[in-house]
Amino acid sequence: MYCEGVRASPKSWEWVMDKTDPLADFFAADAAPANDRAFRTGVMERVARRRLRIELVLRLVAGCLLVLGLALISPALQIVADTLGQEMSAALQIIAIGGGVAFLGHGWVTRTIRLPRMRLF
Amino acid sequence: MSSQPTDAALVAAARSGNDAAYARIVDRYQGAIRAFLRRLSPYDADADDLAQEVFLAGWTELRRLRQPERLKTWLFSIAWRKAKGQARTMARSRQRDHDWQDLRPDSETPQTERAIALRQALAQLPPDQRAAVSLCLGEGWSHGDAANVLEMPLGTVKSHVLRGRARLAEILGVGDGQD
Repeated sequence: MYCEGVRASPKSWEWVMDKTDPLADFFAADAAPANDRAFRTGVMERVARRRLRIELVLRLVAGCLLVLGLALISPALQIVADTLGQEMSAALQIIAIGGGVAFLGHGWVTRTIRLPRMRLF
Repeated sequence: MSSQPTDAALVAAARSGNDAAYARIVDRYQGAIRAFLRRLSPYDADADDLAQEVFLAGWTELRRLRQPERLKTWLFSIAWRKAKGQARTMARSRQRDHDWQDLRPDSETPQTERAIALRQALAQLPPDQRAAVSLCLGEGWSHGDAANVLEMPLGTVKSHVLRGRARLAEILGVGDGQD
């Protein structure tokens, strides 16, 4: 049937389904599947996995940039170490390593896990 | 706040990292997307797997959605693009999903003879025609919206719907019903 369908204002040349259409029963029998919680859970699980992957990649890139930055300034650091002498250089290395470990430890202890926000607004 | 937030509100919330909002979007459109894909795919399990990929792609690309109020059309566009490339995906997962489908409860598969007959008849249509028929006759979309989703000229969609409908009527052995 033309122009007698389910939509409010179909164009005059549009073919739309109405109740008298012989195909309507077939489409009605092949109804959309009911809302499935397992389906939604599956989607949200995939979303969580993709988010984790994105965060891992971002952190990996940040780590690589940090290493690259340190490599770039290492000549300058070497000059400073040479200027300060061997004993002071060893002390500086210990301080730098200690600082790095403290920084990473702080990051680990205060890390947050992004839990799903279950309230809409 | 209304108990039924608009698509735009849900998109805004989901963009800010609210998973409950995106879950609500999934709930709102999973039936329509799955029905559309099931009519394009020979196996319901493949279609549902593809539907999950559609929503995953939707989540990933949500920031690029310029008109949040057209969320449904946008999701169907993704579904159609995914469906067009499903042959590759299906080839990899057909056996696994087929095994799984055998284990599914009967309520998950079309129950009536009419539904089965319709699926078999749809399977005989070319993919573009099947998609146009599924959207315009199965989901009640306007030809213009279907043309947007399927990225086809309006005239092509109109032709697909008319020819597809006539072919379905012929295969199913019902009157054409054309006035």
